[in-house]
Amino acid sequence: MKRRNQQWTKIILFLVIFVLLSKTALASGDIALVAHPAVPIDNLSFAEARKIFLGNRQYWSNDLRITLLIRAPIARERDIMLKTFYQMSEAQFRQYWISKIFRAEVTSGPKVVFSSEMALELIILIPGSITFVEASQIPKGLKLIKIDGRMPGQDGYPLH
Amino acid sequence: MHYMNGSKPLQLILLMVLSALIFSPAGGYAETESARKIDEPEQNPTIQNLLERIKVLEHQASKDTLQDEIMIAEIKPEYPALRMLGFTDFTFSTTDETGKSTGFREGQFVLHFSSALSQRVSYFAEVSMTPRKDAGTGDPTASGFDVEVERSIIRFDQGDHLKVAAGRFHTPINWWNTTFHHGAWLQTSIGRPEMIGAFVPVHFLGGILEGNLPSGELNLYYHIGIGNGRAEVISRAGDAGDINNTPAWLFNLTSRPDRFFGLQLGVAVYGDKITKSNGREFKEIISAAHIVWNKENPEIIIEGANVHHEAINGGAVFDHQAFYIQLAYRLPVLQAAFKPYARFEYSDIDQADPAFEMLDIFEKAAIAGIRYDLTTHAALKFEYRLQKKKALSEINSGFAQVSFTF
Repeated sequence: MKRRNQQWTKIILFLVIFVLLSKTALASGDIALVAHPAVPIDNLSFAEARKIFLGNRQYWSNDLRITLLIRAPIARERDIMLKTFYQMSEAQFRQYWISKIFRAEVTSGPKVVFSSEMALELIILIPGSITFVEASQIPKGLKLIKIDGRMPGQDGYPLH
Repeated sequence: MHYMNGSKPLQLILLMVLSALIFSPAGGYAETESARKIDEPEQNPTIQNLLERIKVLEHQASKDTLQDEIMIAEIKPEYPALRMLGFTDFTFSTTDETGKSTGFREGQFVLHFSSALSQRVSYFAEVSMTPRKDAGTGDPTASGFDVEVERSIIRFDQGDHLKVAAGRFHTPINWWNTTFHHGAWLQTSIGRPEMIGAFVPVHFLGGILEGNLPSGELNLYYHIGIGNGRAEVISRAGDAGDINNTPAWLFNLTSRPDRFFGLQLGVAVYGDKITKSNGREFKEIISAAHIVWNKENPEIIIEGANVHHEAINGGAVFDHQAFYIQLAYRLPVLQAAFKPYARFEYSDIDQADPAFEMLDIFEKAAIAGIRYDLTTHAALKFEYRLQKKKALSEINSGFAQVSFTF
Protein backbone atom coordinates (compact mmCIF):
# COMPACT_ATOMS: atom_id res chain seq x y z
CA MET A 1 0.00 0.00 0.00
CA LYS A 2 2.84 2.31 0.89
CA ARG A 3 4.44 1.65 -2.50
CA ARG A 4 1.16 2.42 -4.24
CA ASN A 5 0.91 5.72 -2.39
CA GLN A 6 4.41 6.64 -3.42
CA GLN A 7 3.54 5.88 -7.05
CA TRP A 8 0.49 8.15 -6.85
CA THR A 9 2.61 10.87 -5.27
CA LYS A 10 5.08 10.59 -8.15
CA ILE A 11 2.34 10.72 -10.79
CA ILE A 12 0.72 13.80 -9.25
CA LEU A 13 4.10 15.48 -8.80
CA PHE A 14 4.89 14.76 -12.45
CA LEU A 15 1.57 16.30 -13.51
CA VAL A 16 2.20 19.41 -11.40
CA ILE A 17 5.62 19.87 -12.98
CA PHE A 18 4.21 19.19 -16.46
CA VAL A 19 1.45 21.78 -16.10
CA LEU A 20 3.87 24.32 -14.65
CA LEU A 21 6.34 23.81 -17.50
CA SER A 22 3.58 24.01 -20.11
CA LYS A 23 2.40 27.33 -18.70
CA THR A 24 5.94 28.68 -18.60
CA ALA A 25 6.57 27.55 -22.18
CA LEU A 26 3.43 29.31 -23.38
CA ALA A 27 4.43 32.52 -21.63
CA SER A 28 7.92 32.58 -23.16
CA GLY A 29 7.34 31.05 -26.62
CA ASP A 30 9.50 31.66 -29.66
CA ILE A 31 8.87 34.66 -31.87
CA ALA A 32 8.22 33.81 -35.50
CA LEU A 33 8.94 35.91 -38.57
CA VAL A 34 5.82 36.11 -40.72
CA ALA A 35 5.73 37.58 -44.21
CA HIS A 36 3.20 38.44 -46.91
CA PRO A 37 2.42 35.33 -48.99
CA ALA A 38 4.03 36.88 -52.11
CA VAL A 39 7.43 37.28 -50.45
CA PRO A 40 9.71 35.07 -52.57
CA ILE A 41 11.79 33.79 -49.64
CA ASP A 42 11.22 30.99 -47.10
CA ASN A 43 14.49 31.13 -45.26
CA LEU A 44 16.84 33.92 -44.15
CA SER A 45 20.19 33.79 -42.44
CA PHE A 46 20.25 35.62 -39.11
CA ALA A 47 22.53 38.27 -40.66
CA GLU A 48 20.18 38.75 -43.61
CA ALA A 49 17.14 39.06 -41.33
CA ARG A 50 19.03 41.62 -39.25
CA LYS A 51 19.85 43.62 -42.41
CA ILE A 52 16.16 43.68 -43.27
CA PHE A 53 15.06 44.88 -39.85
CA LEU A 54 17.86 47.47 -39.79
CA GLY A 55 16.55 48.83 -43.10
CA ASN A 56 19.85 48.08 -44.84
CA ARG A 57 18.09 45.76 -47.25
CA GLN A 58 14.88 47.38 -48.52
CA TYR A 59 13.74 45.13 -51.37
CA TRP A 60 12.82 41.43 -51.58
CA SER A 61 13.26 41.67 -55.33
CA ASN A 62 13.46 44.60 -57.72
CA ASP A 63 9.69 44.96 -57.83
CA LEU A 64 8.79 44.17 -54.22
CA ARG A 65 9.69 46.59 -51.46
CA ILE A 66 10.03 45.40 -47.87
CA THR A 67 7.60 46.92 -45.37
CA LEU A 68 8.53 46.42 -41.73
CA LEU A 69 5.76 46.02 -39.19
CA ILE A 70 7.00 46.33 -35.63
CA ARG A 71 5.05 46.04 -32.40
CA ALA A 72 4.62 49.12 -30.22
CA PRO A 73 6.76 49.47 -27.08
CA ILE A 74 6.24 47.18 -24.09
CA ALA A 75 5.24 44.20 -26.30
CA ARG A 76 7.41 41.17 -25.63
CA GLU A 77 7.97 40.69 -29.37
CA ARG A 78 9.48 44.17 -29.62
CA ASP A 79 11.78 43.58 -26.65
CA ILE A 80 13.07 40.38 -28.24
CA MET A 81 13.71 42.08 -31.58
CA LEU A 82 15.57 44.96 -29.90
CA LYS A 83 17.68 42.50 -27.94
CA THR A 84 18.53 40.09 -30.76
CA PHE A 85 18.49 41.91 -34.10
CA TYR A 86 19.12 45.52 -33.09
CA GLN A 87 21.10 45.10 -29.85
CA MET A 88 19.71 48.47 -28.82
CA SER A 89 17.68 50.04 -26.06
CA GLU A 90 14.32 51.58 -26.88
CA ALA A 91 15.91 55.05 -26.99
CA GLN A 92 18.74 53.87 -29.24
CA PHE A 93 16.23 52.19 -31.53
CA ARG A 94 14.29 55.45 -31.94
CA GLN A 95 17.47 57.42 -32.57
CA TYR A 96 18.59 54.80 -35.07
CA TRP A 97 15.52 55.33 -37.24
CA ILE A 98 15.58 59.12 -36.91
CA SER A 99 19.23 58.99 -38.07
CA LYS A 100 18.26 56.82 -41.00
CA ILE A 101 15.59 59.29 -42.11
CA PHE A 102 18.09 62.13 -41.49
CA ARG A 103 20.54 60.47 -43.90
CA ALA A 104 17.73 60.17 -46.47
CA GLU A 105 18.19 56.39 -46.54
CA VAL A 106 14.50 55.82 -45.82
CA THR A 107 11.45 58.07 -45.87
CA SER A 108 9.97 56.64 -42.68
CA GLY A 109 10.66 54.16 -39.93
CA PRO A 110 8.93 50.80 -39.52
CA LYS A 111 5.14 50.79 -39.31
CA VAL A 112 3.99 50.36 -35.74
CA VAL A 113 1.31 47.78 -34.95
CA PHE A 114 -0.49 47.54 -31.65
CA SER A 115 -1.43 43.89 -31.45
CA SER A 116 -0.58 40.53 -32.96
CA GLU A 117 -3.99 40.48 -34.62
CA MET A 118 -3.31 43.81 -36.27
CA ALA A 119 0.14 42.62 -37.41
CA LEU A 120 -1.32 39.45 -38.92
CA GLU A 121 -4.11 41.36 -40.63
CA LEU A 122 -1.67 43.85 -42.19
CA ILE A 123 0.66 41.07 -43.32
CA ILE A 124 -2.08 39.86 -45.65
CA LEU A 125 -2.94 43.38 -46.83
CA ILE A 126 0.51 44.87 -47.53
CA PRO A 127 2.63 43.19 -50.24
CA GLY A 128 6.24 42.73 -49.12
CA SER A 129 5.47 43.17 -45.44
CA ILE A 130 7.23 41.24 -42.69
CA THR A 131 6.58 41.15 -38.96
CA PHE A 132 7.23 39.06 -35.88
CA VAL A 133 4.59 37.47 -33.73
CA GLU A 134 4.49 34.91 -30.92
CA ALA A 135 4.66 31.59 -32.73
CA SER A 136 1.74 30.22 -30.72
CA GLN A 137 -0.56 32.98 -32.06
CA ILE A 138 -0.05 32.37 -35.77
CA PRO A 139 -2.98 30.78 -37.56
CA LYS A 140 -2.35 28.15 -40.22
CA GLY A 141 -1.77 29.27 -43.79
CA LEU A 142 0.51 32.25 -43.11
CA LYS A 143 4.03 32.40 -44.48
CA LEU A 144 6.60 31.68 -41.81
CA ILE A 145 10.22 32.59 -42.54
CA LYS A 146 12.86 30.23 -41.22
CA ILE A 147 16.01 31.67 -39.68
CA ASP A 148 19.16 29.77 -40.61
CA GLY A 149 16.89 26.91 -41.68
CA ARG A 150 15.16 26.66 -38.30
CA MET A 151 11.54 27.11 -37.40
CA PRO A 152 10.31 28.42 -34.02
CA GLY A 153 10.57 25.73 -31.39
CA GLN A 154 13.56 24.03 -33.00
CA ASP A 155 16.92 23.90 -31.28
CA GLY A 156 19.10 26.88 -32.06
CA TYR A 157 16.22 29.14 -33.16
CA PRO A 158 17.40 32.62 -32.13
CA LEU A 159 14.20 34.58 -31.42
CA HIS A 160 12.91 33.78 -27.95
CA MET B 1 -2.26 3.38 9.17
CA HIS B 2 -1.29 4.91 5.85
CA TYR B 3 -2.90 8.21 6.86
CA MET B 4 -0.07 8.44 9.29
CA ASN B 5 2.83 7.84 6.87
CA GLY B 6 2.64 11.32 5.40
CA SER B 7 1.91 10.39 1.74
CA LYS B 8 -1.81 11.08 1.74
CA PRO B 9 -1.61 14.71 2.93
CA LEU B 10 1.13 15.33 0.34
CA GLN B 11 -1.01 13.77 -2.37
CA LEU B 12 -3.95 15.93 -1.32
CA ILE B 13 -1.85 19.08 -1.40
CA LEU B 14 -0.43 18.20 -4.81
CA LEU B 15 -3.90 17.46 -6.16
CA MET B 16 -5.11 20.82 -4.92
CA VAL B 17 -2.14 22.58 -6.56
CA LEU B 18 -2.77 20.68 -9.79
CA SER B 19 -6.45 21.58 -9.81
CA ALA B 20 -5.62 25.20 -9.16
CA LEU B 21 -3.08 25.24 -11.99
CA ILE B 22 -5.32 23.51 -14.51
CA PHE B 23 -8.53 25.31 -13.80
CA SER B 24 -7.24 28.74 -12.97
CA PRO B 25 -7.21 31.18 -15.90
CA ALA B 26 -4.45 33.80 -16.25
CA GLY B 27 -6.11 36.15 -13.84
CA GLY B 28 -6.68 33.39 -11.32
CA TYR B 29 -9.88 34.42 -9.61
CA ALA B 30 -11.48 32.18 -6.98
CA GLU B 31 -15.08 31.16 -6.76
CA THR B 32 -16.97 33.49 -4.48
CA GLU B 33 -20.20 33.35 -2.60
CA SER B 34 -21.82 35.64 -5.13
CA ALA B 35 -20.66 33.44 -8.00
CA ARG B 36 -22.40 30.50 -6.44
CA LYS B 37 -25.59 32.53 -6.49
CA ILE B 38 -25.40 32.91 -10.27
CA ASP B 39 -28.98 31.83 -10.71
CA GLU B 40 -30.24 34.81 -8.78
CA PRO B 41 -28.24 37.80 -10.10
CA GLU B 42 -30.86 40.44 -9.40
CA GLN B 43 -30.42 39.71 -5.70
CA ASN B 44 -26.66 40.19 -5.83
CA PRO B 45 -25.15 43.64 -6.46
CA THR B 46 -21.73 42.09 -7.28
CA ILE B 47 -23.24 40.11 -10.13
CA GLN B 48 -25.06 43.21 -11.33
CA ASN B 49 -21.78 45.11 -11.32
CA LEU B 50 -20.05 42.33 -13.22
CA LEU B 51 -22.78 42.25 -15.86
CA GLU B 52 -22.45 46.00 -16.28
CA ARG B 53 -18.71 45.60 -16.58
CA ILE B 54 -19.10 42.95 -19.28
CA LYS B 55 -21.31 45.34 -21.27
CA VAL B 56 -18.68 48.09 -20.99
CA LEU B 57 -15.90 45.71 -22.07
CA GLU B 58 -17.93 44.44 -25.03
CA HIS B 59 -18.49 48.03 -26.13
CA GLN B 60 -14.80 48.76 -25.64
CA ALA B 61 -13.87 45.70 -27.72
CA SER B 62 -16.03 46.85 -30.63
CA LYS B 63 -14.45 50.31 -30.37
CA ASP B 64 -10.94 48.74 -30.38
CA THR B 65 -11.81 46.81 -33.54
CA LEU B 66 -12.89 50.06 -35.19
CA GLN B 67 -9.70 51.78 -34.03
CA ASP B 68 -7.66 48.85 -35.42
CA GLU B 69 -9.41 49.27 -38.75
CA ILE B 70 -8.66 53.00 -38.77
CA MET B 71 -5.02 52.34 -37.89
CA ILE B 72 -4.76 49.67 -40.58
CA ALA B 73 -6.12 52.16 -43.13
CA GLU B 74 -3.48 54.68 -41.99
CA ILE B 75 -0.63 52.17 -42.21
CA LYS B 76 -1.39 50.95 -45.72
CA PRO B 77 0.95 52.80 -48.12
CA GLU B 78 -0.43 55.88 -49.82
CA TYR B 79 1.50 58.31 -52.06
CA PRO B 80 2.77 60.95 -51.62
CA ALA B 81 3.42 60.29 -47.95
CA LEU B 82 4.99 63.45 -46.56
CA ARG B 83 6.63 63.39 -43.16
CA MET B 84 8.34 66.22 -41.33
CA LEU B 85 11.04 66.22 -38.69
CA GLY B 86 12.91 69.08 -37.06
CA PHE B 87 16.13 69.71 -35.18
CA THR B 88 17.35 72.71 -33.25
CA ASP B 89 19.47 73.69 -30.27
CA PHE B 90 20.34 76.53 -27.90
CA THR B 91 23.89 76.98 -26.69
CA PHE B 92 25.57 78.97 -23.94
CA SER B 93 29.27 79.60 -24.46
CA THR B 94 32.12 81.33 -22.72
CA THR B 95 35.69 81.73 -23.94
CA ASP B 96 38.96 83.52 -23.28
CA GLU B 97 39.46 84.17 -27.01
CA THR B 98 39.99 87.88 -27.69
CA GLY B 99 37.01 89.56 -29.32
CA LYS B 100 34.52 86.81 -28.44
CA SER B 101 31.81 87.29 -25.85
CA THR B 102 30.03 85.11 -23.35
CA GLY B 103 26.36 84.43 -23.92
CA PHE B 104 23.59 82.45 -25.53
CA ARG B 105 23.25 81.47 -29.17
CA GLU B 106 20.35 80.07 -31.07
CA GLY B 107 21.39 77.12 -33.16
CA GLN B 108 20.27 76.22 -36.64
CA PHE B 109 16.56 75.61 -36.96
CA VAL B 110 16.38 72.66 -39.33
CA LEU B 111 13.34 71.11 -40.98
CA HIS B 112 13.34 67.82 -42.87
CA PHE B 113 10.71 66.80 -45.36
CA SER B 114 10.73 63.22 -46.55
CA SER B 115 8.14 61.85 -48.88
CA ALA B 116 7.63 58.54 -50.64
CA LEU B 117 6.25 59.42 -54.08
CA SER B 118 5.79 55.78 -55.05
CA GLN B 119 7.21 52.43 -54.02
CA ARG B 120 10.46 53.26 -55.84
CA VAL B 121 10.66 57.05 -55.87
CA SER B 122 11.28 59.24 -52.83
CA TYR B 123 12.09 62.86 -52.11
CA PHE B 124 14.01 64.37 -49.22
CA ALA B 125 14.56 68.04 -48.39
CA GLU B 126 16.40 69.79 -45.59
CA VAL B 127 15.91 73.50 -44.93
CA SER B 128 17.93 75.37 -42.33
CA MET B 129 17.51 78.77 -40.75
CA THR B 130 20.70 80.16 -39.24
CA PRO B 131 20.74 83.31 -37.08
CA ARG B 132 22.73 86.19 -38.60
CA LYS B 133 25.14 88.34 -36.66
CA ASP B 134 24.40 91.31 -38.94
CA ALA B 135 20.63 91.06 -38.54
CA GLY B 136 18.89 94.42 -38.98
CA THR B 137 21.90 96.18 -40.49
CA GLY B 138 22.72 97.20 -44.06
CA ASP B 139 20.58 98.33 -46.95
CA PRO B 140 18.49 96.39 -47.69
CA THR B 141 18.26 95.37 -44.06
CA ALA B 142 19.68 91.94 -43.33
CA SER B 143 17.09 89.48 -42.09
CA GLY B 144 17.34 87.74 -38.74
CA PHE B 145 18.04 84.35 -40.27
CA ASP B 146 19.73 82.93 -43.34
CA VAL B 147 17.49 80.41 -45.03
CA GLU B 148 19.26 77.63 -46.94
CA VAL B 149 18.08 74.59 -48.83
CA GLU B 150 20.75 72.31 -47.42
CA ARG B 151 19.60 69.17 -49.20
CA SER B 152 17.05 68.49 -51.89
CA ILE B 153 17.21 64.94 -53.22
CA ILE B 154 14.97 62.94 -55.48
CA ARG B 155 15.82 59.25 -55.64
CA PHE B 156 14.73 56.36 -57.82
CA ASP B 157 15.36 52.88 -56.44
CA GLN B 158 15.98 50.20 -59.02
CA GLY B 159 16.53 47.88 -56.07
CA ASP B 160 19.04 47.47 -53.26
CA HIS B 161 21.91 47.35 -55.77
CA LEU B 162 21.15 50.53 -57.65
CA LYS B 163 19.60 53.77 -56.46
CA VAL B 164 19.83 56.82 -58.68
CA ALA B 165 19.55 60.24 -57.06
CA ALA B 166 19.77 63.84 -58.21
CA GLY B 167 19.90 67.05 -56.22
CA ARG B 168 21.91 68.69 -53.48
CA PHE B 169 23.56 66.24 -51.09
CA HIS B 170 25.86 66.14 -48.11
CA THR B 171 29.02 65.08 -49.92
CA PRO B 172 29.37 61.38 -49.11
CA ILE B 173 33.10 61.37 -48.59
CA ASN B 174 33.05 61.98 -44.83
CA TRP B 175 31.23 59.92 -42.24
CA TRP B 176 30.40 62.81 -39.88
CA ASN B 177 29.20 65.00 -42.71
CA THR B 178 26.58 62.52 -43.87
CA THR B 179 25.67 61.13 -40.45
CA PHE B 180 25.26 64.19 -38.23
CA HIS B 181 25.40 67.37 -40.33
CA HIS B 182 22.75 69.89 -39.08
CA GLY B 183 21.50 67.45 -36.46
CA ALA B 184 23.16 68.54 -33.21
CA TRP B 185 20.94 66.18 -31.21
CA LEU B 186 22.13 63.21 -33.26
CA GLN B 187 25.80 63.75 -32.51
CA THR B 188 27.32 63.01 -29.12
CA SER B 189 29.27 66.26 -28.86
CA ILE B 190 28.11 69.88 -29.10
CA GLY B 191 30.07 70.82 -32.19
CA ARG B 192 31.39 69.07 -35.25
CA PRO B 193 35.09 68.47 -35.89
CA GLU B 194 36.97 71.34 -37.52
CA MET B 195 37.74 69.30 -40.64
CA ILE B 196 34.00 69.09 -41.44
CA GLY B 197 33.55 72.49 -43.05
CA ALA B 198 35.59 74.14 -45.72
CA PHE B 199 38.52 71.70 -45.49
CA VAL B 200 36.42 69.16 -47.39
CA PRO B 201 33.38 70.11 -49.46
CA VAL B 202 30.29 69.39 -47.36
CA HIS B 203 27.69 69.88 -50.10
CA PHE B 204 27.53 68.36 -53.55
CA LEU B 205 25.15 69.32 -56.34
CA GLY B 206 24.69 66.70 -59.04
CA GLY B 207 23.80 63.05 -59.43
CA ILE B 208 24.74 60.04 -57.33
CA LEU B 209 24.45 56.31 -57.91
CA GLU B 210 24.51 54.15 -54.81
CA GLY B 211 23.70 50.67 -53.63
CA ASN B 212 24.77 47.38 -52.11
CA LEU B 213 27.50 45.38 -53.81
CA PRO B 214 27.29 41.58 -53.82
CA SER B 215 29.98 40.99 -51.22
CA GLY B 216 28.76 38.37 -48.76
CA GLU B 217 29.48 39.10 -45.12
CA LEU B 218 31.39 42.30 -45.94
CA ASN B 219 28.21 44.19 -46.90
CA LEU B 220 29.88 46.66 -49.22
CA TYR B 221 28.01 49.82 -50.18
CA TYR B 222 29.09 52.27 -52.89
CA HIS B 223 28.44 55.86 -53.97
CA ILE B 224 29.50 57.19 -57.38
CA GLY B 225 28.78 60.84 -58.05
CA ILE B 226 29.27 63.60 -60.57
CA GLY B 227 28.44 67.23 -59.88
CA ASN B 228 29.41 70.88 -59.82
CA GLY B 229 32.08 70.79 -57.12
CA ARG B 230 33.29 73.75 -55.12
CA ALA B 231 32.14 77.26 -55.95
CA GLU B 232 34.32 80.37 -55.96
CA VAL B 233 33.91 80.42 -52.18
CA ILE B 234 35.29 76.95 -51.60
CA SER B 235 32.99 76.10 -48.68
CA ARG B 236 29.98 76.32 -50.98
CA ALA B 237 28.63 74.04 -53.69
CA GLY B 238 27.96 75.53 -57.12
CA ASP B 239 24.20 75.81 -56.60
CA ALA B 240 23.52 78.23 -59.41
CA GLY B 241 25.82 76.44 -61.87
CA ASP B 242 29.36 75.15 -62.06
CA ILE B 243 32.09 77.74 -61.91
CA ASN B 244 34.05 75.90 -64.60
CA ASN B 245 33.44 73.27 -67.23
CA THR B 246 35.09 70.51 -65.24
CA PRO B 247 32.67 68.52 -63.11
CA ALA B 248 33.61 67.17 -59.72
CA TRP B 249 33.42 63.43 -59.17
CA LEU B 250 33.43 61.14 -56.17
CA PHE B 251 33.56 57.49 -55.28
CA ASN B 252 33.21 55.86 -51.90
CA LEU B 253 33.03 52.36 -50.56
CA THR B 254 31.89 51.37 -47.09
CA SER B 255 31.68 48.03 -45.34
CA ARG B 256 29.58 46.87 -42.38
CA PRO B 257 30.86 43.34 -41.79
CA ASP B 258 28.34 40.88 -40.35
CA ARG B 259 30.92 39.44 -38.00
CA PHE B 260 31.42 42.74 -36.16
CA PHE B 261 27.95 44.20 -35.79
CA GLY B 262 28.35 47.95 -35.23
CA LEU B 263 31.60 48.34 -37.17
CA GLN B 264 31.76 50.49 -40.28
CA LEU B 265 34.84 51.04 -42.44
CA GLY B 266 35.00 53.36 -45.41
CA VAL B 267 37.25 54.95 -48.00
CA ALA B 268 36.46 57.75 -50.43
CA VAL B 269 38.08 59.78 -53.16
CA TYR B 270 36.90 63.08 -54.64
CA GLY B 271 38.23 65.09 -57.58
CA ASP B 272 37.50 68.61 -58.78
CA LYS B 273 38.92 71.69 -60.45
CA ILE B 274 38.84 74.78 -58.24
CA THR B 275 38.59 78.17 -59.95
CA LYS B 276 39.29 81.16 -57.74
CA SER B 277 37.90 84.65 -58.34
CA ASN B 278 41.30 85.81 -59.64
CA GLY B 279 41.14 83.15 -62.37
CA ARG B 280 43.72 80.82 -60.86
CA GLU B 281 42.84 77.17 -61.20
CA PHE B 282 43.80 74.16 -59.12
CA LYS B 283 43.34 70.46 -59.44
CA GLU B 284 41.96 69.02 -56.20
CA ILE B 285 42.03 65.38 -55.12
CA ILE B 286 40.69 64.45 -51.70
CA SER B 287 41.18 61.02 -50.21
CA ALA B 288 39.42 60.12 -46.98
CA ALA B 289 38.87 57.15 -44.70
CA HIS B 290 36.93 56.33 -41.57
CA ILE B 291 36.57 53.60 -38.96
CA VAL B 292 33.50 53.75 -36.75
CA TRP B 293 32.38 51.47 -33.96
CA ASN B 294 28.81 52.66 -34.11
CA LYS B 295 27.62 51.58 -30.68
CA GLU B 296 27.59 53.44 -27.45
CA ASN B 297 29.53 51.04 -25.24
CA PRO B 298 31.95 52.28 -26.48
CA GLU B 299 31.49 54.68 -29.38
CA ILE B 300 34.63 55.11 -31.46
CA ILE B 301 34.91 57.41 -34.48
CA ILE B 302 38.17 57.84 -36.33
CA GLU B 303 38.20 59.83 -39.53
CA GLY B 304 40.87 61.47 -41.63
CA ALA B 305 41.38 63.12 -45.00
CA ASN B 306 44.16 64.34 -47.24
CA VAL B 307 43.52 67.27 -49.58
CA HIS B 308 45.87 67.53 -52.54
CA HIS B 309 46.09 70.80 -54.51
CA GLU B 310 48.06 71.34 -57.67
CA ALA B 311 48.10 74.61 -59.62
CA ILE B 312 47.00 73.85 -63.19
CA ASN B 313 49.26 76.38 -64.89
CA GLY B 314 52.31 75.40 -62.88
CA GLY B 315 53.26 76.16 -59.32
CA ALA B 316 53.65 74.43 -56.03
CA VAL B 317 51.88 71.27 -54.98
CA PHE B 318 50.27 71.14 -51.54
CA ASP B 319 49.01 68.30 -49.39
CA HIS B 320 46.97 69.07 -46.29
CA GLN B 321 45.89 66.54 -43.67
CA ALA B 322 43.29 66.51 -40.95
CA PHE B 323 41.92 63.83 -38.67
CA TYR B 324 40.02 63.35 -35.43
CA ILE B 325 39.40 60.58 -32.93
CA GLN B 326 36.28 60.61 -30.78
CA LEU B 327 35.61 58.22 -27.93
CA ALA B 328 32.46 58.01 -25.86
CA TYR B 329 30.83 55.58 -23.46
CA ARG B 330 27.22 55.43 -22.33
CA LEU B 331 27.32 54.73 -18.61
CA PRO B 332 25.17 51.75 -17.60
CA VAL B 333 23.91 53.50 -14.45
CA LEU B 334 21.17 56.10 -13.87
CA GLN B 335 18.98 54.77 -16.66
CA ALA B 336 21.90 55.00 -19.09
CA ALA B 337 21.25 58.72 -19.47
CA PHE B 338 24.87 59.89 -19.21
CA LYS B 339 27.48 59.61 -21.92
CA PRO B 340 30.92 61.13 -21.31
CA TYR B 341 33.03 61.77 -24.39
CA ALA B 342 36.37 63.10 -25.56
CA ARG B 343 37.78 64.07 -28.93
CA PHE B 344 41.18 64.97 -30.25
CA GLU B 345 41.53 66.80 -33.55
CA TYR B 346 44.56 67.63 -35.61
CA SER B 347 44.96 69.47 -38.89
CA ASP B 348 48.05 70.41 -40.87
CA ILE B 349 47.13 73.12 -43.36
CA ASP B 350 49.83 74.78 -45.45
CA GLN B 351 48.90 78.46 -45.34
CA ALA B 352 50.97 79.08 -48.48
CA ASP B 353 48.39 77.24 -50.61
CA PRO B 354 46.46 79.89 -52.61
CA ALA B 355 43.48 77.52 -52.88
CA PHE B 356 43.16 77.50 -49.08
CA GLU B 357 44.08 81.14 -48.49
CA MET B 358 40.83 81.90 -46.65
CA LEU B 359 40.74 78.67 -44.67
CA ASP B 360 41.02 79.38 -40.97
CA ILE B 361 40.79 76.28 -38.81
CA PHE B 362 42.43 75.15 -35.58
CA GLU B 363 45.58 73.13 -35.75
CA LYS B 364 44.80 71.17 -32.61
CA ALA B 365 41.78 70.73 -30.43
CA ALA B 366 41.09 68.63 -27.36
CA ILE B 367 37.48 68.29 -26.27
CA ALA B 368 35.90 66.69 -23.24
CA GLY B 369 32.25 66.66 -22.32
CA ILE B 370 29.24 64.82 -21.09
CA ARG B 371 25.88 64.25 -22.72
CA TYR B 372 22.78 63.76 -20.60
CA ASP B 373 19.67 62.51 -22.37
CA LEU B 374 16.80 64.42 -20.79
CA THR B 375 14.27 62.35 -22.70
CA THR B 376 14.40 60.07 -25.72
CA HIS B 377 14.38 63.13 -28.00
CA ALA B 378 16.25 65.84 -26.08
CA ALA B 379 19.78 66.05 -24.75
CA LEU B 380 21.74 68.37 -22.51
CA LYS B 381 25.48 68.59 -23.18
CA PHE B 382 28.37 70.24 -21.36
CA GLU B 383 31.69 70.60 -23.14
CA TYR B 384 35.15 72.00 -22.56
CA ARG B 385 37.41 72.81 -25.53
CA LEU B 386 41.09 73.56 -25.67
CA GLN B 387 42.01 74.78 -29.15
CA LYS B 388 45.13 76.13 -30.79
CA LYS B 389 45.90 77.78 -34.10
CA LYS B 390 49.39 77.82 -35.58
CA ALA B 391 51.59 80.50 -33.98
CA LEU B 392 48.80 81.62 -31.66
CA SER B 393 48.16 80.93 -28.00
CA GLU B 394 45.70 78.35 -26.72
CA ILE B 395 42.01 79.15 -26.35
CA ASN B 396 39.85 77.75 -23.57
CA SER B 397 36.09 77.58 -24.04
CA GLY B 398 33.12 76.13 -22.20
CA PHE B 399 29.74 75.28 -23.67
CA ALA B 400 26.35 74.10 -22.50
CA GLN B 401 23.74 73.10 -25.02
CA VAL B 402 20.25 71.73 -25.14
CA SER B 403 19.50 70.02 -28.45
CA PHE B 404 16.47 68.11 -29.56
CA THR B 405 14.45 66.71 -32.41
CA PHE B 406 10.76 67.40 -32.83
